[in-house]
Amino acid sequence: MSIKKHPILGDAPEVEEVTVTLDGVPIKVEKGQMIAAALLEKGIRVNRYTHKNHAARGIFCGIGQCTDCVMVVNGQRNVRTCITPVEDGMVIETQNRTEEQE
Amino acid sequence: MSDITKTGFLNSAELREAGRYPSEERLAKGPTAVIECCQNIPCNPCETACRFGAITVGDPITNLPVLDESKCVGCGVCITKCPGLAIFVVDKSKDMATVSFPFEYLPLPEKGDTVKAVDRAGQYVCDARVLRVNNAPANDSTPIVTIEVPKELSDDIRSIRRLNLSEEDEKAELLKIDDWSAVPDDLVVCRCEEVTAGDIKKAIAEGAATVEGIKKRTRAGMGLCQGRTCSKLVSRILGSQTGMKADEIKPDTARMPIKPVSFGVYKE
Repeated sequence: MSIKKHPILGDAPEVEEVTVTLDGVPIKVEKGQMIAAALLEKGIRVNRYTHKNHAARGIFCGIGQCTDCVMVVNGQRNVRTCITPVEDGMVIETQNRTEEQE
Repeated sequence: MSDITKTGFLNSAELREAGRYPSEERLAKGPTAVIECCQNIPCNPCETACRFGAITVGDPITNLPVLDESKCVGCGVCITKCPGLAIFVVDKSKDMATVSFPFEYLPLPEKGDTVKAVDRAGQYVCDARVLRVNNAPANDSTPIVTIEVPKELSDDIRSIRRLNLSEEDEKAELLKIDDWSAVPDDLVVCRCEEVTAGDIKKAIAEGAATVEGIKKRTRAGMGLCQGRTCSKLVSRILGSQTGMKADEIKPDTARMPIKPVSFGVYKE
């Protein structure tokens, strides 16, 4: 999904990969990216579900303002993933994935 | 005079009136830079780019650039150096005039193509022929396109329509967001607490007359982001429903902390 060949910036440089766990499944993502961006690259667009309607939410503002992309990161709830870089071994969970988790 | 804060540009008559447009005599002699900069921002790459010393910003750096039209040769080096893409080169010395402008959209046109010339507002004016496309490395990826247009239109034509626009895109009108009373009821306004425009209109109908009042009735602005996303939308809907002006609507109360933290932080 990310731009590998840019008309002005040229080819994207090779980037190291790190492994994170998303809802129990290990996935390899690019080092240095924000969590939300790394997941978006893998086609994952849902970061959390809302309390009232259990509606899916993903990246909205992308600058840490709107808190729509918050996830459970290493056990900590409400982490704004669009401004939190990925780290090797990070355990990430979709927030409120099941009603019971609320 | 049109309001530049609404239109975003000065038209050629306004530029002339302000003494910021080259004279007809100079334009008839050959290519000359037309500097349409009208914002007093601290910026002077045009001054340093001109090797003929034809552009002066001087001190303070917030001065508008002044063109010495007798020194300008119309080389166009300044076009790519202006971060605001506000410099053009116009030449009225021949039967048909030419207009050179920065064009940072792909795909680029090619020499000989017939393209759609547009004015400062982006509205179609006439068809035009491409004379040159200059994408030299020194331009730093800001190509200069030169088109041939009728003389009488050359003061207003400032770009061309992008080449990869669909017919639908061309017909698209500017998005109008003036009428906030027309927002659909099922539109989610507060994304954290899942409050819709309908909920907010209902609260206003029930008597809420402030952003704070709507917050207390609907919880809009009480979620994780603390109204960062919705409070402006709420105040606009409030304005549209009550007729209050923006400066009459008191914003909701902002409180610490400025970013979400866990309660554990206070324990430490």
